[in-house]
Amino acid sequence: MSEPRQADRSTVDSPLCMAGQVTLARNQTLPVAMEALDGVARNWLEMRELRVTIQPLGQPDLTPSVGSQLNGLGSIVEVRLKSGRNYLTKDFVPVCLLGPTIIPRFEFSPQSVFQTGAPATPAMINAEHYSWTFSKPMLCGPGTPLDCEVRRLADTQGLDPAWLGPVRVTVSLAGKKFGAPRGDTMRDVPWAMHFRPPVAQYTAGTTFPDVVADELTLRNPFRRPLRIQRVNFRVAEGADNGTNGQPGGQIQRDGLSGATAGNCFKLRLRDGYSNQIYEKTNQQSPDNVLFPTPAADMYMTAQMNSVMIGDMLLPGQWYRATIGRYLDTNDLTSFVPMLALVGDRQEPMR
Amino acid sequence: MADPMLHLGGDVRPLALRAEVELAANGAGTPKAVALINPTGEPWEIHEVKFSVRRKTDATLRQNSSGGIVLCRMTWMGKPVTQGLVPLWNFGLAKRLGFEIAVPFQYLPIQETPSVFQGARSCDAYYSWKLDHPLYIPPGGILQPEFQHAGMVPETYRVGVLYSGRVLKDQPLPKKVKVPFVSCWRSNFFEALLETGTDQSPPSQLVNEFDHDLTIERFIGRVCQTSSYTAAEVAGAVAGALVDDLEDGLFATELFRIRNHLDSVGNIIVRGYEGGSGPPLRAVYGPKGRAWQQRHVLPPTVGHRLFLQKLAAPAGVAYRVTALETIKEVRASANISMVGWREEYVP
Repeated sequence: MSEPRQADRSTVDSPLCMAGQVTLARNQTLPVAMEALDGVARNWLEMRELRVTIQPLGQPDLTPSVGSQLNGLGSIVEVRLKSGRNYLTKDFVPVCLLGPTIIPRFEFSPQSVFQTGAPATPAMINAEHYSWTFSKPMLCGPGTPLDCEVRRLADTQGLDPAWLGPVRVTVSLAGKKFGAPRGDTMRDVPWAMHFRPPVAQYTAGTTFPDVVADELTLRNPFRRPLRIQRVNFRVAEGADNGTNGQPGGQIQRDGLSGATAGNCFKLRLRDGYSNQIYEKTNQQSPDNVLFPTPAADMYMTAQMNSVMIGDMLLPGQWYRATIGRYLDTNDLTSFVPMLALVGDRQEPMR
Repeated sequence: MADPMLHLGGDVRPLALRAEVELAANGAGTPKAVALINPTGEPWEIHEVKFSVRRKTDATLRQNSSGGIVLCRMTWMGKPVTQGLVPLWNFGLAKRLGFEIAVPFQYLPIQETPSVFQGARSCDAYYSWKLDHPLYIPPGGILQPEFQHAGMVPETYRVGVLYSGRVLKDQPLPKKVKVPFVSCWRSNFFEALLETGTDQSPPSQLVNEFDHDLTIERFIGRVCQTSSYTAAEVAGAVAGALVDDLEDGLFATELFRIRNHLDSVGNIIVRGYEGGSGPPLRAVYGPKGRAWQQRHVLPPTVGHRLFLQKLAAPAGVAYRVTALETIKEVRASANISMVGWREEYVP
């Protein structure tokens, strides 16, 4: 039986959740003030998880049959994080690419009992949740500043609907506060870098060549090895999707559907020596496209949009990613594929 | 090669014990103890507790998630496993929200004469609590549950509890056992649109009531939302309250704010925003499994204090009115639990 301890703040470790909130207009970048930092400036912290909630404000009037959800904003909201002198992301990374999808339903929320706008066309109150559980917890020494910026990108790929108003973004970082000081000299720092092809989008009837992330995009920029935990792959649906879909569309997108739509992607990941790391062809999209009205959305792969890699990139080494349209059956849907590599590296405590 | 199953010195075999009880609205019930005691008289350990809830009367009334309606109190060998009554959905992670719905599904008449299938049948809602450490049950011992219907809906439920684990034959009696512990705070109910207010957890809940350390593995945050109707949604159905925590809409992301979350030692766990509010409930008790996974140790008598704030709904939000249903009112309560374990001597 453990002995009772004198309980005071110097002996008791406690959980900690720091959160901040901003409202973003189109093409706006804002810093997020993590409110609790003042109170823990003299403590050692261990951060384990980043959560982002995106909530559109001012819902449009959408009929339930076509607008039962408004998910997909994780493709247009991006985050950049820095702890002390160490960045956690390579520039801004789309929120949807930070972590795997555990349950697709957590990424949208059609709350059916409320409405905005005219009663005859009830709209839904939605929020999306994304989560990044760090591959290794990140230790922060006393007084280590935490900088977080969120951006609603200047959309050139048709993902941000013209009628979408401001979105509220809540960022929270969860972990633990140590009661007693520690003496660590090194720490694990998470890292996320992404590739979004600089093409308009894949559209029907057009033939796009494969797009390739070059040696600089997915490269280890550090002087220490970079552990790659996983690759996250998403495909955002273009907001110009005006005619597809089924009335009363379904909201569950837990698996792949059949190949009737024929929209398939391929993803190939190789290292700098052309060793194949991962390849997936015939990656199908669901045959029931959910958004006949303009909206941004993503579809889910059967692997929850993520594959564990478990590799190591030495300093200067890179991956080359190739994304291609596998099959085009003249569907009117437009897609924007994107991927991210997520892992961690070691840095000195400073 | 030695059989790995025999390395413990005897047969190790799985065991599942189940019992069921019927709960009328506001009623309480205890399943038969004999159904939850190992009939062979051998010691065993429980790995997982699974709850199932089904409406007694099949109906076409639409879905609800019953985890907030049915509460459970548990004891192990006379020692508390829960601090009072805990909603079923506050024990374990929400791994699959779709399993939490007692959905009536209808057999449709097939297109032939005569029609073979007709009618409706509800299916069970499931909640799973995977214990952080196997719970040792000595010979003749029991993990005793008691259930309570919270009364938010008029329906009668059949509640089942199943313990799955394995028998420990010929094993030495352990000196100490890691016994799970769950404490839950259920806030007041607030009306959705106009009501504002605050609520805070009492010192008697979310606290280590033992004289030794309590290890907390996670917090679980659920929103018990009831929506009452003034008209039947479907012809022949009963207009009543719908209870769920399936959606992360207004309450979880906008209206319920964690104004402060402290421990009794003075550590700030969640700090509110300057100017009054705080982070929304779901930003703290994260989307993954409706839980915030963070192991920490609570010394004796140390506990958590939560300060909840309810905001008014944003301008322009109203209750839905459609041709089929008129929503009279929506109310919600935050159910926040801490789940962990402590060490006990085997009695």
